[in-house]
Amino acid sequence: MATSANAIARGAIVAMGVILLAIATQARWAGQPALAAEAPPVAPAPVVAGGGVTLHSVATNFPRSDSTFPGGREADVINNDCLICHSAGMVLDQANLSRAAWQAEVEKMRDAFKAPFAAEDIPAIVDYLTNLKNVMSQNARRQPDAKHGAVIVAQGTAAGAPPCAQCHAFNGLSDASGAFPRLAGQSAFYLAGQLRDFASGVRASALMSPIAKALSPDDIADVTAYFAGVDAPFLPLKAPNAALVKHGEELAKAGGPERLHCDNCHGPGGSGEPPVIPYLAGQYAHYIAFTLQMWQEGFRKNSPDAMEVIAKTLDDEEILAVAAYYQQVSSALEAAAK
Amino acid sequence: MKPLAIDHARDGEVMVAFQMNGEQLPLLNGFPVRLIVPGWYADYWVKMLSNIEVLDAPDENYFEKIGYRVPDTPHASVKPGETGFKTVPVSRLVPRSFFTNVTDTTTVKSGAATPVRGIAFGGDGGVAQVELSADSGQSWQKTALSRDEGTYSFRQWSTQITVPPSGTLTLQVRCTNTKGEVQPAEPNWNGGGFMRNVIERVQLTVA
Repeated sequence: MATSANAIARGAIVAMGVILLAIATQARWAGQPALAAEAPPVAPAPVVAGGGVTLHSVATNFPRSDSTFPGGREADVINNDCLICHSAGMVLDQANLSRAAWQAEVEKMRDAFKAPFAAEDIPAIVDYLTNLKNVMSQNARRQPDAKHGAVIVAQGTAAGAPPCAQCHAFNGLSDASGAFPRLAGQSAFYLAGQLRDFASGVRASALMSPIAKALSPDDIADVTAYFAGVDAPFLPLKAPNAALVKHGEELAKAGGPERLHCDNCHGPGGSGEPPVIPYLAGQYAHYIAFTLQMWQEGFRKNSPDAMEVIAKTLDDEEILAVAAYYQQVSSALEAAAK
Repeated sequence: MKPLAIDHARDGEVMVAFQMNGEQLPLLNGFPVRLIVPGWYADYWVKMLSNIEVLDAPDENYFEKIGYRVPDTPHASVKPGETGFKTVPVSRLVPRSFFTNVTDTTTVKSGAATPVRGIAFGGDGGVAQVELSADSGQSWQKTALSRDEGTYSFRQWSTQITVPPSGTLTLQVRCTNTKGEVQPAEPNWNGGGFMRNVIERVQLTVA
């Protein structure tokens, strides 16, 4: 009896020896479905108290960086995939590493950190990084000309692009129908990427594809620099359905089981993570809903690992809810500020 | 994400912190709660702690199995390019000491009594002693230490030297912790640069 009790005790100690505690913060990309499933779908309370201690929620403004990797088209992949987390400046300051060393770094970002980019992007990123010092020394680029952009927006181009203002208005507000997106203040990098994707067909649009094809690379740089710099108001819109907005807010802030919330990438309240990720705050509900359907149906193919996957997890009601929520965010903020 | 052996996690020193100096944690320090693992590397001090999981098998996550590992050798040291050595997860901090009032650009007066000071920390133990050498490590003299604020607190060290008549003066400082571990005289090296704690030295100009 004593012997077997000892044996059990020894067994228990051995078992304890291999018990480890895993300690984690919420993974930004929720790479582990188990973690995402455990996140409670509730908005954080502004104050938590217990045991004589009170913790208050804090607000902060993180510095924004609009810097991108230089080099034009060669930099497209690294700009799209890496700027979600990294500032270009930090990467450009790295030492001259070998191709093998960069390959290992880039694979680590995908495999260990669950960065949401496609495996077939890796060669282009590694090429760019291996060639970093050459890119830097040749970096005498033309600066975008927002004034020329404004001329194109108002008058179109000789090559046949119509004036952007016909649908998007001169100040980039489009109109309250929501058939066309609000462009004012959207990141130039994001807008230019969309124009190139319209031209190449990665984002299919009977309306925008021919227009984008008629714009030269310099035209694209100028037009997008213009729209990025416009500080436009928000149009007064019909009062939203409160229940729909509330449901949309839950989805936007907390997501759901095994699903990312929109703010995870699009920033608090959909304020955007420029230069790569567009703002949603104040974007027209009709446009948000339409574009989510474009992801679902495969007409937009320029974010296969993120937006396409996420859009396909949403049903029709959820799409209307997030769209209704984001449309009223900016007007809600403006009303609160008054 | 980092694993701790359960006995370590429950040793009375490891804690989940929600306040610092009587105030809630600043955002950059991990608000609202962070893990504190005294004497261990910061990769265990998880900020914005959101969940603690009990595992019944060794953790296989990237930062345990592949990243943040050191050679299982004295001072975690190998030769650059060396392969085939066993590795373990980086864990405990090592003793270190630094000069704070003199650098390689400092000029000191010939023959003068000159104060020299700095800070030291013991890593996973307290600071037991800090010594100074002015003769390339042949002899070491003890320095005075500031008040002991607790095992994991750094301490200021200070002493006075008499500057030789001319030339240069090389000083070295080394810390020994309460576990008897002393800083190595030769630079220790590994691919991640972890646990480097070679004795620091400064070369002063005598004028």
